Amino acid sequence: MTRLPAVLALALGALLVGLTVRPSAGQSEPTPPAAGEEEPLPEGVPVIEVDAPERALYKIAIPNLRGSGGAPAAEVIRNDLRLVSLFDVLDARSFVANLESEGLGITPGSWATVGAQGVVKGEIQRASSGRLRVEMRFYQLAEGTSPSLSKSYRGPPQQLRGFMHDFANEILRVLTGEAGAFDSRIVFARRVGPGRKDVYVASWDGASVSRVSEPNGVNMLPNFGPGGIWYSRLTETGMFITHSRAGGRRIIDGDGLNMGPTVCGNRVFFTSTRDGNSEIYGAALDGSGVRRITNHPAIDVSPTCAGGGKLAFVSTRHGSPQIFMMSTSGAGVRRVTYRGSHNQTPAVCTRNGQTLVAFTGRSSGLDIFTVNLATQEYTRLTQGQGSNKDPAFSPDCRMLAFWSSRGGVYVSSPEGLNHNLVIRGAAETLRWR
Amino acid sequence: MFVDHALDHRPRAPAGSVGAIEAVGGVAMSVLGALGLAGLALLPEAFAALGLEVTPPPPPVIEDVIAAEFVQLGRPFDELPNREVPQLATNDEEPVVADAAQVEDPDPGVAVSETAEPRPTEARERRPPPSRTRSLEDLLTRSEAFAEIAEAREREGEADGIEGGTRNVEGDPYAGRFQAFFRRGWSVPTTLAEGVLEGLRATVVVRIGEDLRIASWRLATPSGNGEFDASVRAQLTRLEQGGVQIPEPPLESLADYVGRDRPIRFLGRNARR
Repeated sequence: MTRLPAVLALALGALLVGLTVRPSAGQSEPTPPAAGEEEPLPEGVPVIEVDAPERALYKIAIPNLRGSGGAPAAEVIRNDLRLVSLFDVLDARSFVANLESEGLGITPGSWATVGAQGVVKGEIQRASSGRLRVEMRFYQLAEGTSPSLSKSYRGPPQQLRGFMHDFANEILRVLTGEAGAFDSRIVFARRVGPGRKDVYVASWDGASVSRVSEPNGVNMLPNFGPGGIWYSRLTETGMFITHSRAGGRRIIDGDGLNMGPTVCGNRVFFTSTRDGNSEIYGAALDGSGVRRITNHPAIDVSPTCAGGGKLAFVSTRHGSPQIFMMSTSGAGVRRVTYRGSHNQTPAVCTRNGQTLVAFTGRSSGLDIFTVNLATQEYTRLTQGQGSNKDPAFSPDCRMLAFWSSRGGVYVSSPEGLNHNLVIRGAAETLRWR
Repeated sequence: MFVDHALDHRPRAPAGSVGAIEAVGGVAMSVLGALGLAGLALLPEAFAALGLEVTPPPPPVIEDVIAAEFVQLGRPFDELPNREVPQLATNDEEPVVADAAQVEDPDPGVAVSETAEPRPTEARERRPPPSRTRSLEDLLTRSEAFAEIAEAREREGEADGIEGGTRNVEGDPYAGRFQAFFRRGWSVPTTLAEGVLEGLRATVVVRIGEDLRIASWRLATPSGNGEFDASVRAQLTRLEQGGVQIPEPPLESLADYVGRDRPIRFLGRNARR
């Protein structure tokens, strides 16, 4: 048998090696340039520009956390991200990764197979004292196998939900630059029987609903502020304003009705009929220095903070209830809503330079609307879905809560998408912080 | 003659007849008024007879008049609006654009777009009848976490222009179709804020083979944002692995698009939801 010359053998071997390492079809891109590096473009060839991409929900996979209590803990994060209307939380039944062998790490290919763009991993360990140690990771497949976010938590078991909300906030911070508000709360009033109305506060996702007002009488129009939850309490002679840490003490009192407190900075604003007509007043947080803000024969009610030293309120000075805005000194009153004949319960949020005012409008029933102050564009969030009223923005303006006769407090995006029931039962005059 | 005093707003005479003094005064005023008007009419001739020049008034300036047209409103403007009801993409009769790899249009030069407007009859006749498998694929492709409002998609070759068009004169029609081929189905995650998206751009270099399919591509200029670059990679990978053909170029442009490296810049501006 004739042996091939060594040189020819080497050449054949090199050829075989080259063939095996050639990229297969569908994997055209070699090692991409690092961020900031550029490859030269073909000269003399016009560049085709492609813009206007579609927006798609960020696909995130959240398997159960390892350890005892991992399933309900993961469900807290899933619920947070599902309701904020930015994520497509993938069904855990579609996961193909070997979670046991992965541990807190990931195998990118397994998650890319199910279409995930991000993966959350976590582990709960319980010490002999009962305290928890929780390790959390968030991976972005586009960034490789190193976690984009790692956090450790330690504390008693009852803080586990808070840990999960915090991690969800941080996931939003990593992806959007702005943290979420999943650790926030909603306060509302609820009629519990004849002559009885209580004020409640709940986790925004409906967990831990608890009463904060005195267990008797009529308590209503709650809001957040220093000292806890501020609310109005009805008496035989009128109504006064107190808060949950006042021990029943009357913070703001006077003739007639004093109600609907809203705390903006270091002052509280409220509606009062002490001068014989419904007007907006301001006072210090201890109730001193009461000063009248509005002065009009029409009815002025429902002040709410609008940011930037402004208040939104409802007035009938143009003939029907409409939303107006003014400075906290009462200057510069201007009408905000010009569509609809009966608009009330304003809530204001400014995000990305755009100010949205949400309100309850009457249009063949009560429904939720928003108006963009700059563009005067109106958006209707509910229609043909029972009665809907008393909107409240989340602190990060990414969500809107309102009560619906469909069964309780609903949360949706500010565009009215993705309605979800979060708190069952009656609720009115919602506020969210 | 009956006088309807409701319409006659002249001051009424006191009860009784008009007095003699009033009558004479009225006649005198009428005569004087007539003489005055006649005098004004004869004034130019009078000046001419006296040798005085009368400068005629300048002719009126005729300005371009733009007729103002107002939009006819369908409903009173001061009413609150209705809610935009999302269109669920469940009708398999509707053409779908989401995944170009699944388009079975035998004529790649005809755009398949999802719009409320009726498609050209010719294109409709050439479209193959939807199969059950394709209907399910379309449904799965279009299904999302919650219904999205169906926006008007651009229609290639539309005489009235396309969505996102920036010129009011016709440019290169084929370049527009080539661009739409790469845009169709490209999506960026909602976690990228609009302010961030506006400034993102990534450039890929694509080579189209003789079979009008993507032969190779590379990300030449990353945007610096991992998620945005991942969306561009996903788009190119999907088009390449799907084996979709680009619209057939006209003969005179064939060499510009086939068999050579072609840079394509993806920009995050004007993102649609």
